[in-house]
Amino acid sequence: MKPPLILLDTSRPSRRSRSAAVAVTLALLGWVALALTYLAPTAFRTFIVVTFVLIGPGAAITGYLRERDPVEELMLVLASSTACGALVGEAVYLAGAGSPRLVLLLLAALTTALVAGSRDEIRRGVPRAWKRARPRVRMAKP
Amino acid sequence: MSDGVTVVMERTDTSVAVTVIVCSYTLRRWSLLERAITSLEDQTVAPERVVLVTDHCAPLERRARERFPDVTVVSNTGGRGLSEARNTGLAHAGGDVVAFLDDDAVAAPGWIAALCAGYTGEDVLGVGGQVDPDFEAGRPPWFPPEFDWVVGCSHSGLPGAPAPVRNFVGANMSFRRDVLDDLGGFRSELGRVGTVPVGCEETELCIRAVERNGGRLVYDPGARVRHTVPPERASWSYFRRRCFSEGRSKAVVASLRGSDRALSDERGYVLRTLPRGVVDALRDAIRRPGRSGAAVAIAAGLGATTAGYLTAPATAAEARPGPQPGDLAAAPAPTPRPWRAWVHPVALLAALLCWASSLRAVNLAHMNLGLVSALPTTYWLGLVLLTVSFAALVCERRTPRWLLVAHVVALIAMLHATPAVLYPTLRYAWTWKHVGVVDSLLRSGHVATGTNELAIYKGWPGFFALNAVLTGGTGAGSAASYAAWGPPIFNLLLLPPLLVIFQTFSADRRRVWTAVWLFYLGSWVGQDYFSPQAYDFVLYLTVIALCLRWLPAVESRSRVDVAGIPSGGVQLDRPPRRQVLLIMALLVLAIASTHQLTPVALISALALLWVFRARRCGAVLVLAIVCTVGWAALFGRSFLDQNMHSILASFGQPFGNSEAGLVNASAASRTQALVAQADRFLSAALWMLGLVGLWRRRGSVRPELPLMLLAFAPLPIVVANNYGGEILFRVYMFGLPFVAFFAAAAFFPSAARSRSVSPVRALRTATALGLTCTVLLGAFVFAYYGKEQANYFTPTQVRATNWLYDHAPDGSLIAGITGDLPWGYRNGDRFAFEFLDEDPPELARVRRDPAGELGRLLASSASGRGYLVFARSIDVDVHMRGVLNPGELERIERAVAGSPTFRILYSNRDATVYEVVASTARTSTGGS
Repeated sequence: MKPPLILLDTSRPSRRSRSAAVAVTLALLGWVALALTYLAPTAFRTFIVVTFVLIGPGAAITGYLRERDPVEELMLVLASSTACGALVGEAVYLAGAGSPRLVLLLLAALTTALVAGSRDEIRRGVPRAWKRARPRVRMAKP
Repeated sequence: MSDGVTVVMERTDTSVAVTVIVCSYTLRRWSLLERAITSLEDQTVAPERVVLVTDHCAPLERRARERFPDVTVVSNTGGRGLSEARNTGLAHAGGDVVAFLDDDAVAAPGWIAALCAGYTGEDVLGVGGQVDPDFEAGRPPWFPPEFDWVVGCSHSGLPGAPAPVRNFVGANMSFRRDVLDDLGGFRSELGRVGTVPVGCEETELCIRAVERNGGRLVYDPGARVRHTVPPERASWSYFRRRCFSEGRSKAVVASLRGSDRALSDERGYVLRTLPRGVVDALRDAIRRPGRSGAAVAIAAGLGATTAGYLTAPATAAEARPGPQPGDLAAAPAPTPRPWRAWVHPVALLAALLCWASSLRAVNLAHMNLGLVSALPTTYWLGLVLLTVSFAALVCERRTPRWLLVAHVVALIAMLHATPAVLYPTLRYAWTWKHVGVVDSLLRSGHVATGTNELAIYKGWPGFFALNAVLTGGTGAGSAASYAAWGPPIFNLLLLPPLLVIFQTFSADRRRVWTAVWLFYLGSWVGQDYFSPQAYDFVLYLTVIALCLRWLPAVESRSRVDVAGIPSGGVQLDRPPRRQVLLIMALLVLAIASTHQLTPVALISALALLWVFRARRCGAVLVLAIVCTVGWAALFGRSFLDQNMHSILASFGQPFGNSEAGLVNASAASRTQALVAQADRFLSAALWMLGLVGLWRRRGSVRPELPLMLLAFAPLPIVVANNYGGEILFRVYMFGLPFVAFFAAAAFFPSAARSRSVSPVRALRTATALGLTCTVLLGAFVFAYYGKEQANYFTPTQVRATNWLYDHAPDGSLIAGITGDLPWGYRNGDRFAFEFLDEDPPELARVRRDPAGELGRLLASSASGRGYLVFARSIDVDVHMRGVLNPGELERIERAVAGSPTFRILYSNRDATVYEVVASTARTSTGGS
């Protein structure tokens, strides 16, 4: 006789589903950095702006990836954040509309969009490709 | 086997047969044990078998046999401890599912039924339930429910409905029997022995079970057990001790299973459950003052656990690739050696103190041999101390990773932060220029179109745009406020990609960290200042690291070498191809739009990996080519058009290109010839060590083929361009990380388990490593800081050039014998610059007729205004590199000073600015 079926979330206990607070903080960080540029320069402003530019967009991007080695994640976050900063900055400055504020606005919007998108990813559960990649052992039925 | 009595109790209609294992080690808890066994008899679904394991306690075994005739009573056949006792019980278990109940716990009547109901599918490997604390003397008011795990119970914050979890509480859990058999049971180096709580054996087992089988573990709060908590366990001192040892256990699990998995749940617990507990406790405290103790207890518990984690001696990182079931016995129990734990932190601190005190004793006026002659003995002492400490540390059997990181960070600080601390002005002429480009971008808001010496930056503005955002966003005003910190920052940024690359190919912690160390010692080229090259090198290594880690090798059969590293490196958790390509596209485009040479080096590296089938990187290669060519065609056109002639002229002349940058030893000063020797010695030594490492690993080097290719990858760019005479240095720089990896193999050729290395051999290796590193370090400081007299600008000299940039009208031509000036930074885009050493025919004409030729040259500027700068740094540079014959510079300056074509506009101790008096006799802007 088969035991009763209990419906469970089919995804693994994902770390990402617990990162809601982190995701919201990330999205907010950019807007806070942008708002701070309207105030006088302070150590706090420097800290927030530098933190956001160095980790904000990259951390939003790694939200799409499954949990990784922390060193690898750090490398990815720093490289992809600064790459986003450089590319968005270039686009704005080459267009002749350069102002750090506009770049920060675009980066904050990008980060928010990425974070919103990755929440979606979490709801849908772990993508099928990753499940397939996991080795499985066929278990005998109890 | 079992000499006890096995009684099969009646089975109900469920198809799951359960064996319950209870372990006990003392007669003192007899009454509790009786309650536990009785509760098993009252189950709604009876267990198939109950096994009681006594842990080396004969009286208990005898009494249990008499009292519980229906229970299989066996004695622990392994060593003392809960893990071995459970494994003994497992050997006597039958049925499909094995459940564990503590001897001081009471199961609710529906416990087994609830556990069985949890096995809903094939992928459910185990089911666990909730453990409620039963405080014998009542719960102390300060004892926070968030820390109920301290007394072996479920803490608050766990799911309220059945949900997958990472691990169970040991007092209430069940597994499929075949899963446990397959895993070889619990690891005996974990688990409590008697009353000594080491714990975490179930956490480790749970992680191992999921890793091996890929199913899930389900926590069902409906399967309830009450766990008795005696008064001595509800005490403050037990709480503190248990938190501390839990931290230690977590560190052991982390080193065995990788910190990522071992600590994944704890992060959420620390970040969400504990803060909520503090808030709740404080809210309660308003009504009941006694409850404020709970908030304190949460903080203290977290502190004690963290302290335990940090002070745990890390077991060797060679467990990383994941131990197989066969090597269960291999992991050693950590033996505490308190004094040894302090040796390295103390040495590190002493080295840093030496460094700090040496900084006060530096006299920047004594730079005959750059900083080498200006640094006091304490600086060298600090470096040697650090080197010796590192060499000993890396050879130790167990090394906490934070200590290795701390040593590397200290090395970077001592080597690269020294000028930033010492110099009152920015170091190196090109730093000033790059700051100027950022500041001009910030001021104008667009990439200027112009044709002066800064034109090259307009086509590839990535690095400058990024810094404009940072400078403008923080309100710093000018990038000059932080540009001096470029070298330490960029060297720190290189650490993560280096570690990822090395760890992909070696699980031997000693080799990985030695390679990191050797990389920093060999990195004398100096391309780590505030520059697009420094930033692009970080991105270059990141892309290479991702290629090695994420992209599959073409070879389909995966071979495994001695160290358990599959052919071509460890590749776990590969994300889907679409995501790989998107992230690669982002990074590659950033590389292509930031710098001219790095994308070419990247294409060369990817092409080699692709051609030799080391990685399936064809798509990334195409991406890199499209981005590089596309960017250059769209945005770099104007620069390429202007310089096409010289680029084409040097193309295809590898020998001419590679010779262009080498110092002309016959013309240079003797000290500089020495510095050049140090350069060459250091480069050659690293490559020699690399070859030795390759030879020592000759049998098992095949999996490391990709890194071998990458060491040679930058060579083809020699054919393309001489890159202002320094192409060979760049080739060395791009290949260095990979050379360093093989150089480390010269000391640690086999990835053998370090625990099998005899102490004598370890000492010999540490001595060899320490001596080699000391020699390399000496050569590094010579090669890197031997030219500092030319890279340092006195504040007096900077005052002179600043005055010029503030007062010269737009379109002025500013000239010098060499470009060793702070130039191009303040209003840099408004002037034209001419440095004679870059134009040998012009320099030859000047040497024949200084005043006449310089007058003609400067009067030819767009605005008719021309300025000639003589400065201390130019004197040093000319002398150092042998640009002119001895005494010739003074002759030129005398001729200019005596000529009616020139007049002194500004002069101080370290610099003189001459203005050319044009025939139109315009009035000058003033002088001092």
